[in-house]
Amino acid sequence: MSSPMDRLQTLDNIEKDIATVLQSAGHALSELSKDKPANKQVEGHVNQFRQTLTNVETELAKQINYLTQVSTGQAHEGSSYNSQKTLQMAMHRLDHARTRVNELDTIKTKYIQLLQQHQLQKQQQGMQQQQPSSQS
Amino acid sequence: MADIRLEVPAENSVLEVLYDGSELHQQPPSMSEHLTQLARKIDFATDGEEIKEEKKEEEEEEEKQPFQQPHWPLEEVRNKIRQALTEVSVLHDLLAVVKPKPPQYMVLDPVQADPPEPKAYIQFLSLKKSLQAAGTILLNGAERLRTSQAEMGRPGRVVGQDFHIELLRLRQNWRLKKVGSTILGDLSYRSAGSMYRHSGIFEVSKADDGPGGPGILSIGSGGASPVAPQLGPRAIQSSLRVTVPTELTGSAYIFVCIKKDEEDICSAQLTSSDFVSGETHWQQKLEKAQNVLFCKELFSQLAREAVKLTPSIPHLVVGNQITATIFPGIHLLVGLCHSDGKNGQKGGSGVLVPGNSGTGGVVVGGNNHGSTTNMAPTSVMAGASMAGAPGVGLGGLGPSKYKHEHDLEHSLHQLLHRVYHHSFQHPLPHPVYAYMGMSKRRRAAGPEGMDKTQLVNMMKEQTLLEQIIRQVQHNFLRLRTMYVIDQLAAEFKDPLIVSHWNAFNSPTRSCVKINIATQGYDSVLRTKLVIHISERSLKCICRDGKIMTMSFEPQELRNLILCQISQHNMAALQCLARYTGWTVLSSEQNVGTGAIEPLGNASTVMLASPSGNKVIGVHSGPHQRVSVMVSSSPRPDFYPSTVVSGQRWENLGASWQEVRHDRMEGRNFLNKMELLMAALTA
Repeated sequence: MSSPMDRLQTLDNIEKDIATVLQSAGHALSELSKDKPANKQVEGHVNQFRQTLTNVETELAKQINYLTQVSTGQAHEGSSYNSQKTLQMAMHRLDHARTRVNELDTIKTKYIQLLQQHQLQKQQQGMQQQQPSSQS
Repeated sequence: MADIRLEVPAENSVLEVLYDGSELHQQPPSMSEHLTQLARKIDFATDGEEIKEEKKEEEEEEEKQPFQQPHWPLEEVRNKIRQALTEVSVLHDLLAVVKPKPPQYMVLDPVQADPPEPKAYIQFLSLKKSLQAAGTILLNGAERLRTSQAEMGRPGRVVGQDFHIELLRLRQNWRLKKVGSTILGDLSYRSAGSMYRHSGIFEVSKADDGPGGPGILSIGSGGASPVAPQLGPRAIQSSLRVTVPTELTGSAYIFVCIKKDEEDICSAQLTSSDFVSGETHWQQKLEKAQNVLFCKELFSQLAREAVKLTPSIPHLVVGNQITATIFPGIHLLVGLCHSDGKNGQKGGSGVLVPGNSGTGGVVVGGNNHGSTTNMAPTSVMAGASMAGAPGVGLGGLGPSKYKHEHDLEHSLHQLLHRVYHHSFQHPLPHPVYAYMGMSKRRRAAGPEGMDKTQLVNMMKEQTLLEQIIRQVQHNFLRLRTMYVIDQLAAEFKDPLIVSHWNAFNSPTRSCVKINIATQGYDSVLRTKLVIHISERSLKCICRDGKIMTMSFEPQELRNLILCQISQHNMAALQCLARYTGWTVLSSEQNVGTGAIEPLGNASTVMLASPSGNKVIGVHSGPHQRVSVMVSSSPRPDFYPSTVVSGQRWENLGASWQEVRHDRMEGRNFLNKMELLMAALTA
């Protein structure tokens, strides 16, 4: 009985078992209603019926026991909406901060690009100035 | 022979006499009424013989009864009496049998019919048949169970998409209860402390399957839901469907902006272009619906307060907008944007053109503007909004004109959330005998003997609108201060203005520290001042401990900083003179002579060289450029004359010559002055 998932899985299994119970009971009865009922088959079905039924009973009892331990008669009136709202607002703040940081980053890259362009231009100008001086 | 008519004389009692003299007679009683009247006259408390007579009567009546009304008042009595008569007769018979002297016995034997002939074979056959029928029913039931189980765990469905598992997930985050055969959920924040009337009920049902049916959903990557289960971006069939009320569908957000211009106060129409596809995952759907509910509550609260408050300039509440004046000529606009998914925009008359699915959108203005796109300004912030992804536009106006203030929207959310919080959370510890929700000060009010005014003052609480207006005022003032300081820092390079903003601040109070220093001479002098920014005023604490309070006008701050720059130059020069060995002859903060400054006073400093033959005078005002004068005495070229025989007589002050220090070498004022001093000393 660890996680709710497991519990749901168990309940699912019980439901399947109940289907099996019904099926074996049905098979047993229809076998009986035949003109010449095969004793062995009937016995097999009945045995299966009883076995699965016991299984279902024990499992169901387990579940009910568990439920009596954990549940109360009253409905749960609280909710996590308050904390959820807090969480949402925190996410919003985080997003906001991220956006602002991204804006800063864009400005930085833009500035760096401008700087590089400027330096390139300077270098080219220097080259151009050097070339005429070397030619002369 | 004449016919003799027999008729009842009109002796019915008169019911009413009308004004014209005619009489209204009571209608003659019907047969049954007549009988009832007669029956009322019978007295049952008389002797038995009379009862017998009565019985005869009654029997007669009984005969009559089929022709009359079946129910009459004594029917029940009659029945009971009759029953009693039967019983008494039986008892009488019994006694007559038992009573004679040689006692006789009476045996009661049940009447037995002849048992039917048992037909074994037919019985066997019918048994078989019924067995078979039972078997078939059981098998059918088992088959149906199997089928439903198989549907649950169909291979097309991802593991974990089972209805019950999804229901479990839903229950983990949302309030659910079972009413009859339906599962109802509660979206409202009432359990968190809200007082809003909207019920916020949604219904949970099993999704009916079908290829391409409503169970299909595709989750975009922009789903910013914090508690959504981690699901891949591909289409997943959800086996659970939630139905939210129509007024909560779609998405909504509170639009907050600050407008600067006076005209078109209420001409802006808010529209939102956030489209929500019909089927989204329930988590997002519920979150959006809850957000819509929250926004509606927030807006209704604000609108109520706006109407109730009576400031000097009244707040305007028009449609889905509230306009409040925060400073002269500057307005705060709060609007509720709600797009309900289909095509209707609540409160906005702008026509909406579907944008490209989701974040950014296109808004077409209602009037003569053609179409204005607003992709650029909001696309960056789209993910950060409370509503998820709004494309904000104002009908008929350039959308870039009004910037949605995300942080103010967030502040509004925070304020309402705080209201919720306070309605449930009571500060601990509190005595067990105290009422819940009473503040500590209020509990202490009795023992401390507070008077009425104190109590009234204590009960005063600021409304949400007042609080947000204060925050907006502070926000605006902070930005403006920032702008002024930045402008000045860009304008003045000579003393550098460095501002440090405190990272920790409250929504209505922040603090900036300004350092004024000259580049390269940081260690010589730094002028520091601290400015506290509150809602409508600035408080500046200077280096010398002076405290100045300024209003929200930016010019005042600008003037103050200009004065500080001027003073910094003077003070730094004096410090520099101390290092270089020059003597400060005089220093005057507020000079009374010279041209009148438009603001504040000019200051002067006079410095003498170590040898005493050179004097530098510096005059500086907040709005004037710095002027530097030099006088040297005695003159280096001294020729004794008959009047002035010795050089020492030349030590009287000589004429001043102005230095054009803007043509001097040097990076800044102090550097130039240092060079000047060096040149004069050499």
